[in-house]
Parts: sequence; C-alpha cells; structure tokens
Amino acid sequence: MTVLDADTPDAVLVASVVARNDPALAEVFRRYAPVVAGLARRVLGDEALAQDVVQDVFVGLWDHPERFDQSRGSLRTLLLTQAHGRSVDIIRTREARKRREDRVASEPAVPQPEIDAEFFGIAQAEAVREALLALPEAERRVLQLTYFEGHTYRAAAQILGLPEGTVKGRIRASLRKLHDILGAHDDRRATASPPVSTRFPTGTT
Amino acid sequence: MTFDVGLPDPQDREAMLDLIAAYAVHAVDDEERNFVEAHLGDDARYEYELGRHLVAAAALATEAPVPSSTWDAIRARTGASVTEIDLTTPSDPEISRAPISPRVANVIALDAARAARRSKVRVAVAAAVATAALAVPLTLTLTGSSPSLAAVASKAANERGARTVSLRDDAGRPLADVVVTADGRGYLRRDTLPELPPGQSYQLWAITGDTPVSAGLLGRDPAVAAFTVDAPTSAIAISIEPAAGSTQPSATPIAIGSLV
Repeated sequence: MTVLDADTPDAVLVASVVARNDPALAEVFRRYAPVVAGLARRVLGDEALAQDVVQDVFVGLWDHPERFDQSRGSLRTLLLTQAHGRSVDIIRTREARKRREDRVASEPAVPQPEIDAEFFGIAQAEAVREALLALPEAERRVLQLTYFEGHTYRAAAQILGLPEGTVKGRIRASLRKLHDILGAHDDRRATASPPVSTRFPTGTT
Repeated sequence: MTFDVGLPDPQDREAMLDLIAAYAVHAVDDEERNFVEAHLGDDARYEYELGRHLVAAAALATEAPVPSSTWDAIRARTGASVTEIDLTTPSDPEISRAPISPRVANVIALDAARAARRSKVRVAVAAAVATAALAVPLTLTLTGSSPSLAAVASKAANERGARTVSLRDDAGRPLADVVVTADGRGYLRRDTLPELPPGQSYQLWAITGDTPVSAGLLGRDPAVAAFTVDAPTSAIAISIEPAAGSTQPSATPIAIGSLV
C-alpha cells in the first residue's frame, strides 16, 4: 500500500503524476475535485455537465501533466483555469445551438438576472461572499456576467448597455480587488515567474 | 452609446492590460485570445497581471459534492488503480487559508477541527490487483491514452486459457471484443460503440448465473479497458447508463457475449 499524506506538496504530486504514479492523481483529485466541481456547476448550472468537466480536467492532468508547471502557478489555480475554460466552452456551444434553434424568434430577450440573489446563493464560502460584497455593484455585475455566466466582455457590454472598454476595465478592477482580498496567499507563486503554462489551450475561450 | 471595436495597439499598455483581464476570465473571442497570447511576452507586466487575475478568479470557486462515480469514470479513462478516495470532507486548502473576518475565522476553525479529527488521508492502492479485484467486482481500469494497456491486452489474449469474446447486439453485429484470462483479468480491446451524449456512460457487466455485477463504467467514449471478473462469470455485457452508473442495468444491454 502506498500512503500519501494530505500535506504532500502539490509540486510533489505533480511530479508523481508525471512519473505515472496514479495514487498521486487520486490525491490531487481528492484535494481539488470538489472545488473544480463547484466552479463547473456554478458556471454550467448542470450537474452532469459539471461532472464531465471534472473528468476532463483530471484526465487532462494525467494525459498532459507538463501543462501544470508548479513553478508557474499553483496547481489549484491551473486546474480551476482549465475547468472554467472548459465550462465556458460548453456554455457557449449550448448558447450557440440555442441561438440557431431560436433564430425564428424575432424578439431576443435581454436577460436581466437577479444578480445578488443568485450570485450569493451560490457563493457558499463566507470568504468569497464577503469579497464579492466588497466590490462595487457595477464591477460585481460585470464579473457575474463574464466569469460566472460565460459571456464575452462584448456580450456583457451589450447586456449592460456599456462601452466595451468600460466592461474590460471593470473586469480588471474587480480582479485586482479580489486578488487583494482573496488571493494574496498565492502571490509568491503568481509572481515568481510568468504563468506561461496558464495560456489557454485552443478552443477554451 | 458608443462601442469600441478592434484589437488594441500592443504598445498601448493600459488597453492591453484591460484585454488581458478579460482574457483571464475567458471573456474574449478566439481572435482576441490569439492576440493576447501572441503579445503576452511583450511586457513583463502583462504576464504578471495575468497571473494575479487567474489567482483571483480561482479564489472565487467554492466546493461542491463530487459523486464517487466521477472518480470511477476517471479511473476508467486513465487506468488508475486507486479504488477509494475520501471525498466526505472539504479538501481544498486554499479555501481555509483565506480568512476575511472573525466570522469567517470561526467557520474556518470549524473546518480545521473537522480536519484534525480526520485521520491522515490514506490512498488505498490495489497492489495485488487481480486478487483484490476478485473480491471487489466493481473494479475497472481503463485508458484512452496509454499505449501500454493495448499491448497488455494483446499479450493477455495469447495467454493459455484466455478467451476472446465478441459482444454483439440483438442483430448479431459485433460492437466490442473482450479478452478474459484464466485468472479473471479482462480487457475490452476493440469497440465500435458510438460516443454517448453528456450525462450517459457505457457500463460493463459481468454476469454470474442470472445476476449482472458491475465491472465498471466505461465512460462516454470507451477505449481499451481492463477489468476483472469472478471465476464463474458466464457472460459479459454492456449497457447504457446514467453517467453516475447503476447498481443494476437500467435497460436491456446493447451488447452481450457468452463466456461458456
């Protein structure tokens, strides 16, 4: 029997995955599958699709562990970036299909989601909730539409009736604030070297 | 109202940084994504901010339950031999490292207390795969990417006492080939099974007498697979089940092959 401690550093786990040590993959899964599932479910709103994303992310780690260079970003961040990109791919595909099917409908609806009710109902962790509450409403709405609903910034600009540059600026401002609130503990890894490996694979946006 | 159009000037640092922020949350189109990736190396600030944005975005994720069937499906796709993972308690260390307020700290303290009660994680590995698997029928290893498993399956087919069975549909069309060795190791070698839509999975069944016992999930698009069967297994079958799998076939198997 091989025993892996919960304190085993991510870098060691990834090195073990590279060496085709599948118990290491299992430990990565135990450690991060719930949060990957949480993000995918939040974006997709579909449990089965979310679990498909979880599968794809961890099978992707097994098949291409070289994409997860620990010197260029935390494993958690990289897994979640992959999960978000895959989820957005799926949601945009579904939306594209729906748009084609609904082409005969002459009056496109402009969604006006109840941002706060849904947003905070899903944001289970208190830390996340408080960080989101700390954002100005305008920035929170932009983040809701882009990060959690998978809209491009252009689509978000149309929904909100704002210039695209304003939306991009609000995305940037909100992320910078969120980093200060939530992400400071990952600074070392984020600044140690450029996150080249976090570039999105083709087709993830 | 005005709308901006076109890609920014790569020398316009602020415009590039705004676009990179959108890129970080997958809010750009393909052309913009390629543009950003082509220019990330132009300025150290670009990659620095991207790294920070990705960390911030990832910090927004919260945990959700993961059914054991998800790991089963991953095992089926990777060939992993680990059969049990404790997913009953929160596991992401980043969440409990982000205290914001005393109220949050209290929540985290409760999590920490739960974690302290939990024994160290032990990942059980099927060291003696064949022996253990005979005792636990729901054991399946499979890979869609490892070339070695195909070679192992081919070698097993030539072992003494090994049988190769064609799993056929009602019309007699072969949908998959299965090799079963004398000591109960099994391999799904070739299949013409079409990819299933999300939410569904092929499931393999070892039939003993009249009783089907799950031999594992094959996923939506099966590849070479390895599994184990009990000695008295009389037939192997494949059915289409929900992605999470079933304890018993929920529909008539789409293919079956006799081992006797």
